[in-house]
Amino acid sequence: MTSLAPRWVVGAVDLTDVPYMVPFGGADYGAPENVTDVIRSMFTDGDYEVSSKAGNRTLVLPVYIEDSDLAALAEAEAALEAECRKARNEVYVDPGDGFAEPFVFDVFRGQMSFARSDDFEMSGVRAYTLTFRALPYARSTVETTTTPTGTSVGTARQHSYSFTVDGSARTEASLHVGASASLVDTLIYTRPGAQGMIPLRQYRTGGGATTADATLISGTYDQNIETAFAASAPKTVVPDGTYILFARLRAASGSGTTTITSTIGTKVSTYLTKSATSLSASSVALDSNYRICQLGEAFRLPAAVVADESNTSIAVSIQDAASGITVRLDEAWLVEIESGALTWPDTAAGIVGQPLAQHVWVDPPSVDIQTGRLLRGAASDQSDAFGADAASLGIHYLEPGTNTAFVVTSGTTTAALTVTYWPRWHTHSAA
Amino acid sequence: MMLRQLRIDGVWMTHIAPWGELSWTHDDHGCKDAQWSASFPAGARHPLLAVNALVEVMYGGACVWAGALDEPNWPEGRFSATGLSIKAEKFQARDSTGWYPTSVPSTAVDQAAVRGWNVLGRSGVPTTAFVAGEAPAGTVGALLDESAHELGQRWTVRADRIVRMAADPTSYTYVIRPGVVDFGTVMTNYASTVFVTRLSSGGTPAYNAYAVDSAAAAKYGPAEVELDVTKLGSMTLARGQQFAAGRLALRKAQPGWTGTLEVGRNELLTRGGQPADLALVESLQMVRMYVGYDDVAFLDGRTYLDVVIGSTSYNDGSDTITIEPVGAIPSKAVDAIAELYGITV
Repeated sequence: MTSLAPRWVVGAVDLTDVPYMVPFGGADYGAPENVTDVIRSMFTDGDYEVSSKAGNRTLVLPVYIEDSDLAALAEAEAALEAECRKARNEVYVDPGDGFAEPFVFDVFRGQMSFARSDDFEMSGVRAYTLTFRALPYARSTVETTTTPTGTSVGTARQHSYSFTVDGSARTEASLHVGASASLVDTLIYTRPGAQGMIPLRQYRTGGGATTADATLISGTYDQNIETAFAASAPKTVVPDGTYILFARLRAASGSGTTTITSTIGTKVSTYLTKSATSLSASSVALDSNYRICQLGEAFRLPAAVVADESNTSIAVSIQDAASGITVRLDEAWLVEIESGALTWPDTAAGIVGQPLAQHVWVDPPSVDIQTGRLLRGAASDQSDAFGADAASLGIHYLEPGTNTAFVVTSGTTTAALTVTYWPRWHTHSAA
Repeated sequence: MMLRQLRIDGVWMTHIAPWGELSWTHDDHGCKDAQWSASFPAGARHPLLAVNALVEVMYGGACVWAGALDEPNWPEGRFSATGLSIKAEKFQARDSTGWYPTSVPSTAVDQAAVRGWNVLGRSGVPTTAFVAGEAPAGTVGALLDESAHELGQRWTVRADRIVRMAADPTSYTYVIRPGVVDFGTVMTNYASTVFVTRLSSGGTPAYNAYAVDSAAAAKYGPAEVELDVTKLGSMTLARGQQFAAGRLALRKAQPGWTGTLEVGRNELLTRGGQPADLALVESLQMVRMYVGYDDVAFLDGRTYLDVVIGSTSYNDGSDTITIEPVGAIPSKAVDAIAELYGITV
């Protein structure tokens, strides 16, 4: 049997260091509570239970304080209460066999209770119980930062990423997209599991004349989408979910407002499973600068349940109503938003005198900064960073295992993605 | 499952304060209300959370609910927003002078938007006067209600903030499996014949406009009502018959269910059999319900019933949604008619 020397540290107070001690066998870490919905199901007997969120856990730590006199005990109690009283704190735990990794519980204001006994008072010992409500999952003591290598699609202005996340529980990611030149149009997307942001020019099946242009995201533009841009993406790259359609458009010359109509169809082999869905027409104001537009409303894919995904494709068509202006299309994307998260910061233009953003930081709500933050700046050290507006704001969460990301930066080919997260664990850290 | 985000006058609620517990409802006029709670220090007030701020529930980059902020409940940290269709009761139907009453629905909508009604446009709203001659004073909401009922349609302001007037859908968006719903017959305000009393071109009462649903009369028994629209001024026979037909369409007896129905994700499916995304379910979408065989005779041999959703209530992130069927006659219309013209229905 190995000798065990566990340590518990509440904030700055080490509960296993003089004058504190933790009686053997008393610590209780509680458990994250699944928040469950019970759904009547298509089963004849039994129900389907769904849980997509965990509730906070309760930690109970018994502590003895032992010292030479009762005045010293009172001082030690005051130091302990000072830690318990904090609105939020950290309980650091080292399991104590020399091999296991330490881990941390993020706790809220603690409750300290005292049980008096004459025998204990005469011996110069006092017994307390500390009760903390904590976030459901423990975390590692060190944040993990990963800079995955992306695969460019079309040009290096958009990359698809895949990376592995440690841990045994879901965690939130802080993302940083940085480049050595202005980002201009930026889209930042993450999704646990399969990639959910699909650029469509690579699956183009029809449309009018096109021109190559390496300054664009896809490297090519359709000269006039009065002849509809048509693409057909295989179902194997389009995971089931709720989608929105984006396109990057400009007026060939001049400016004006035009109506863009889009249709989405699900095909098995060569036939449609259902009539193609026409999304609500979008009225977009365009000028000679490209901009990203969201087309129509959200929709479910695929339109029908399919047995063989390899035989199925999603057909997308984007068309400009015959209007006074000629509309060019650079790239279009299907974006899955049910499991995926999209942040679309306003980095395309600055205020006069303000530098254009070369860096964007997306921080999720955390115990420290409960509102989360979206920052843009020109310097990589955040020295000139400030809060950005956004047309879409996502909470980027990561599941243990494979996660994917997609980043579009129309202004530069040098963008890199950095993902930072706390690995989270049920109770004990395995990494 | 992802949760929705909230935007107040273009600023993300997430960047204002910690918040949660979002829920929203739709009714047969579109977005109805939304509620959420947020954490502020005691005594704090935030300038962005001002009455009438634009509130948008965002799903990715798409808006699924829009409305205007109500007076915040700061002590409890509870906030609510009201749909723009309800705000239509707070605008009078006036023309471009800003003060002269109008009964042209499109003018009333456009001018209310100029004076602060936070809608973005209109679609299908009639451009002809509802009342011949002098228009009485009244709210934009009442005018739109009456105009919609004349046509047998409904008007809505949904998440895209467009004032829309359209007939109920005729094709279904969702499917519910058999066994989920227990049917009865909804006979509220049932009528099989509507007689219209109008003023002819000569200004004298005329009674020859009416509409009959003889199939309903044979099945559920005859019930006749009179609709007196003489206060709307002289009216052609054709328009009188349109009123009769429109009112009959909204008062027909129908098999259905009363009260609310709670359905889960795996019970409400899209047409292709995919579980619906409950955050996208709105009112005035049609649901096809497959019935047990005992109900087939009741439904004239059909094995399904197509019902239009009248209202929805959804807690963000939940796997269930509560829906109600559209009623035989929206009760607000009855009040609107009484208020506007003193007509009893």
